[in-house]
Amino acid sequence: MTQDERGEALARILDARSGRSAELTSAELHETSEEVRELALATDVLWASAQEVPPLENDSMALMLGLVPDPEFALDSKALSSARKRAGLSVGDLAQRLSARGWTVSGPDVFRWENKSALDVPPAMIRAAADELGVEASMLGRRESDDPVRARLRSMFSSEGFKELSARWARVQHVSLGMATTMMESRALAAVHRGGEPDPDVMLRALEALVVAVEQGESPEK
Amino acid sequence: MSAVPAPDWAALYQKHREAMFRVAASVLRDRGIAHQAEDVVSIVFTSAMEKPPEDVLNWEAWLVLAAKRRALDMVKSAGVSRVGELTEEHDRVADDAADAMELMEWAEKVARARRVLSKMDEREQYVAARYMIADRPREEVAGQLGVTPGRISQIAGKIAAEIEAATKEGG
Repeated sequence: MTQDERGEALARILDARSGRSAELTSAELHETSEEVRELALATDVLWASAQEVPPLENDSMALMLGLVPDPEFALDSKALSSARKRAGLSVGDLAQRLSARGWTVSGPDVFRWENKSALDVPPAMIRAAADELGVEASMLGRRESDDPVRARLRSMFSSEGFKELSARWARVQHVSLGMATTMMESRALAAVHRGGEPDPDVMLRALEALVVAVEQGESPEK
Repeated sequence: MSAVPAPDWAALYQKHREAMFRVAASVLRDRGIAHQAEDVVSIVFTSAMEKPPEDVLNWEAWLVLAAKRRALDMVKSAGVSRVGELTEEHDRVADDAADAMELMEWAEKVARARRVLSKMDEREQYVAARYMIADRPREEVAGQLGVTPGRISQIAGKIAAEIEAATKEGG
């Protein structure tokens, strides 16, 4: 069977499935050759790969579990640092303990939370850290409205410009929009030094430059 | 004997919800209710928190398998055709480990397909998105691209072949 013939045979299956998976397009699928059948099943995998899970902030379960950063319960960098030191743990130790619970956290992440910005840390992660450090979660939390830098960044994250950049980042990085938004927020947060005064316009331009560079295939994200 | 610590549900949810969602959507698709995949994930997770399973060695496998079974239940209650075939494996309780392994392999294939698609040119991505994923008629997609339906078949065949090769070879 030539490549063109395989393509036509596959098209007959796809044309007949009416929105269902190729696997369930029984008559067409089972009457064809094994190689076309495998192509049809590959299209089912392709379809699944395109299904996007809703962003965390639109996910009621994620909200209930405390996976969405909450301005009213943000991580207090100084309180975290103090509690960690009192517990006799290094940033790597704490990251390792959080990882053992299922969180994707590295030592540099914890270092950033303590020394740069912790705006992206959700309440559930704060509770997990408190649990590992043997303190009440309320000791590690603070109201974001008390911190103008955090409030300004939060405002930038909700801007149309930032959302558009996140969508482009999702496209070039081949990740979901929710994941891309988190990645972009983390990049912005990592750029904010403690005590700094981030200019949202400057930060958006810097993020756009990064997106454009990756779009042009100059520096793929690792 | 010390008690097994309770799982960190939030961490588990964040880590595995995407895989659960994709499995559920794939099952529900055949009844035209893929949009209910989010409900499946939510129901499975709520049930697990209310009555935590014991002796779970691999949470990803457990959660993804539970999502698939819950989705099959929804398909069954919706009266899908050929439901007997669909639910046959669902009823094979003894094959948990094999089912879970199969699902993990499937999830890896899905991840590879995503990478393959990302490397395709704009026209191929358009055909994949419109014809192979959104199920738009071949003639319509051909008209939008200014090519013949036969050309769309060729492109679809090439895309499927590349995905099939990547999922087999681990590319």
